[in-house]
Amino acid sequence: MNNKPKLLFTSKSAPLILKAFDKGIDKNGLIIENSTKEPVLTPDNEEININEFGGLKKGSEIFIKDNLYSIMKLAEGKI
Amino acid sequence: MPNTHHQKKKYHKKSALESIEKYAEKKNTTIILIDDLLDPPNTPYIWDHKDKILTISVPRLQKLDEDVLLCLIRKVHSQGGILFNRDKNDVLESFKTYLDKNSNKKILDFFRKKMPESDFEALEMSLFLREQSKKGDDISIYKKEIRDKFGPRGTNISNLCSAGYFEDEFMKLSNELETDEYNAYYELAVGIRARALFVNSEMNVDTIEKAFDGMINKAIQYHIDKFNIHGIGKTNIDNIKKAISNKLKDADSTYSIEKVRHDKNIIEYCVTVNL
Repeated sequence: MNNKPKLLFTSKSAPLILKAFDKGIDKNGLIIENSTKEPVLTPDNEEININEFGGLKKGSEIFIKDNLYSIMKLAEGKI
Repeated sequence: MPNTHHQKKKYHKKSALESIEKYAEKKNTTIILIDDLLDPPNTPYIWDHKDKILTISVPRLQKLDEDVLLCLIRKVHSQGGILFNRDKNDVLESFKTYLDKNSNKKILDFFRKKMPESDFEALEMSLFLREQSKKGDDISIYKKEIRDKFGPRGTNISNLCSAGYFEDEFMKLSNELETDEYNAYYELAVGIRARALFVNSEMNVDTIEKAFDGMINKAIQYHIDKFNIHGIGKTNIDNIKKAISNKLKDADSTYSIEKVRHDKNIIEYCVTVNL
């Protein structure tokens, strides 16, 4: 059994999740590092718009899109 | 002189924050952030002991102490837990349940090393969607995601998967043919899209007839002696029937058409091309 906690957020509270990790959103809606203003990347080296932000996983910070491909990889434990 | 009212408020705040941290640390806890106020509105959280769900009102807790909320978010992450968008959580859970059931293991194990990795990923997604579709779920948005991620080739894999080609035809041929021969056939079916024509709702009678002619040309060019036409839904079925009727009027000795399936909501024709 998976004993790890899980936190479910809403699209409205997504910026709060980003704030907890010192991330922000640029003028184009891309999620960025606040310190460098560089876009964060998914494991497939894709930039993420806030509208397609699926979540975050440890390792150290793995950003996940909310599409089926990312969900499949997450369910399979491949990200 | 101490402000008793202020002390009382402070005490409640401290107590609430301590409780939130205590519940969040319990094993298997799911923390749900909501955008609304709870009832009563000054309550920052609700703890569901039975299901171990800690529901937190974001506006209320932000007002009390946003840092606690930010710490909580970081703590879930540092403990290896996932932070996930609630809107997509049902799909994630459905996918996990589907994987646990292992219902398509045979197909996946068979094709894992027999196709390009991206094709395999498209097949994995398509098999999941096929299961969801059987349960009556609307999968149209995810079919579009397959197209966005893998292009027309992915869409074709998804359609071929839905129609059963992978287990009914490709698996059998892979066992019967030499590897090179099978790979060439697979590429014609998947990449060139010469094995099957899948009619969708954006196609009218005219475009179906044009697509039909395109399939005949591919059959001649690549020496494929048959292809099938698939349609689901009343409009597609009606349009296919009209297009086939028109093609039969024009038919010469190049091809013959046979209806191989016509259920309430599905139609399938097999076109044999005289090469």
